[in-house]
Amino acid sequence: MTRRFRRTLAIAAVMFLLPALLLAMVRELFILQILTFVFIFAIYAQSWNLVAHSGQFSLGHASFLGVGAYASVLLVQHLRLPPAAAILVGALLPAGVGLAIGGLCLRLREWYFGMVTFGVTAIVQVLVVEQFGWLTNRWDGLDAPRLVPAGLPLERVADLNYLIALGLMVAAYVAVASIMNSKAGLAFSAIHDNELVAAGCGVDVRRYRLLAMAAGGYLAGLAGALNSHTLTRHVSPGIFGLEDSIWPLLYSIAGGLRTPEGPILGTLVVRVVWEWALRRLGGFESLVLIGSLLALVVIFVPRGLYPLAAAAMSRVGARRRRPAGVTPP
Amino acid sequence: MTRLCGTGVTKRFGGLVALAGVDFEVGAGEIVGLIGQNGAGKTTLINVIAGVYQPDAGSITLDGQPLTRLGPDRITRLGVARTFQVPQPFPSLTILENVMVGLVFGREACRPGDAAQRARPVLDAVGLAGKADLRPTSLTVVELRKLELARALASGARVLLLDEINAGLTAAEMQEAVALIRTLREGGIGILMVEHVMRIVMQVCERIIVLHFGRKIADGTPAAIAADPDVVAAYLGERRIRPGGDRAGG
Repeated sequence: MTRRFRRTLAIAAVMFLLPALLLAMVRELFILQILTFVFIFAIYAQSWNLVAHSGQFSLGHASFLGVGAYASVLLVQHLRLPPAAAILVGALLPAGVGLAIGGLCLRLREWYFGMVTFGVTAIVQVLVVEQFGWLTNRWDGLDAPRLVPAGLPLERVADLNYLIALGLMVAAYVAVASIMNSKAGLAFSAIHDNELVAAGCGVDVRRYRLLAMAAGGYLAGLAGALNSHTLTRHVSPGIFGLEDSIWPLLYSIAGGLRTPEGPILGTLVVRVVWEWALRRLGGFESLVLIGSLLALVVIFVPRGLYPLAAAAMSRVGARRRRPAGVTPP
Repeated sequence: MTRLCGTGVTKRFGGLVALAGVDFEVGAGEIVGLIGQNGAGKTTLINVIAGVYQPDAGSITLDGQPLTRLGPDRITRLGVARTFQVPQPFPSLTILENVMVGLVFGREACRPGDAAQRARPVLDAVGLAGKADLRPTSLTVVELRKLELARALASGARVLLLDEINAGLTAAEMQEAVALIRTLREGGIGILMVEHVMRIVMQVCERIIVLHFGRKIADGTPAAIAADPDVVAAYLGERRIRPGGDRAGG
């Protein structure tokens, strides 16, 4: 086991245990719901961030979120799969969508890549509503069955949803951190920095870009399905909206682009501030607050909150390890 | 033994013929210079060999194996590595990781777990051992060129394409680079180097290819090239150059 992997596992343990402890102490349903939302959308942000790590700037991530949700709900309805299995199997479809979009955009980078992914999302929405309307119930959408077995009391359902979302978020974290520390991660970084030079070093640029899109499609689809089966209990074409393509970008930038921890911390901070503001300040003021927060982060901590927190923690650690009476150089 | 061999290599950009039927050869352990005026097609030739451009006609082989029509990554994996005219490090990776990219994805196809270990001696060889954990932004121009070379070497190259590795270096730094290039040759690597500094070309190259508006106008030893009236008229100008001498020209 490498040192990096041990570090990943240690962070994963903290990431799971702290919220699990919180569950034992906090009984307010709305807090559990907000945190469940954070766990699910942290997976979604994780997906966006992984794709960005390979130099692909997606503005159409909602297509994965939506296709994953529809695929899972349809698998439950038509093939009688249990929802817990359907969310994992259904996410293969958005992984395929990721491959298709990735293949279409192989020669594009940055804004151009963003433009096409943005456009494709609009097309996916039309396809889902019109061409597959007979299957997807058009604009009305579909009801999503509960993830957990029927007949449980509502409180137990909330607890289980919370734990399942948390577990999947931690699993996604370990998976993405492992990818980033692997051969593929090295290829992603090289491609991110300079595609031509990466190819000149022997990196198969197409293969790794597609790999990132497929993995990203899978994770985002998983998040979409999880969201539909737990929080919204419904999926409709509104899920393909632009807003849902933008949020993961904000979460990732706030928390720390291209780090596996950043999207999680970013989702937590941005979402908790947002929910608090919505309850205390009202819609317009909340937008101003969240906008200012993001602007401040980008100006003063451009690398994001996680690198800042990690640097602070290692400084504290270093101070503790230093023998007394020795002044730092 | 011929490592790299090109016949009739032609590349057009619209109406412009950048390379017109260029033949070339680089043997194992041979250092071949590629000279010519700006726009003569030197970097285009490097790009065609590396697979960045596909030639419109002609063929290129490495140890007898055809390279034409292969992508740049395949060509690198077969054993042709290059450096860029302007150093192009991966800025978000450390120096060590930059070299690891070459090791893991190049001809060596080194296992990622071993790559960090194996990158160290490569950094040692170019004199960047102390900088392994820094990012390229903290390197000087010379060091960036060394990194460029280290990354190319790490890929397990059998042929190395050097595009103006000495540009922007001081005389002392150039001598350092020349010494380094000479040690590489000992291992049987064939080197094709684009170079503007005539003193360096005359000093290190066993053979020189001269391009002029996309055509090869000469191919021979430094002494023969310096005496070639076509080359003198097209490139070197009227000043006399002694092979191995220290008077700069060009």
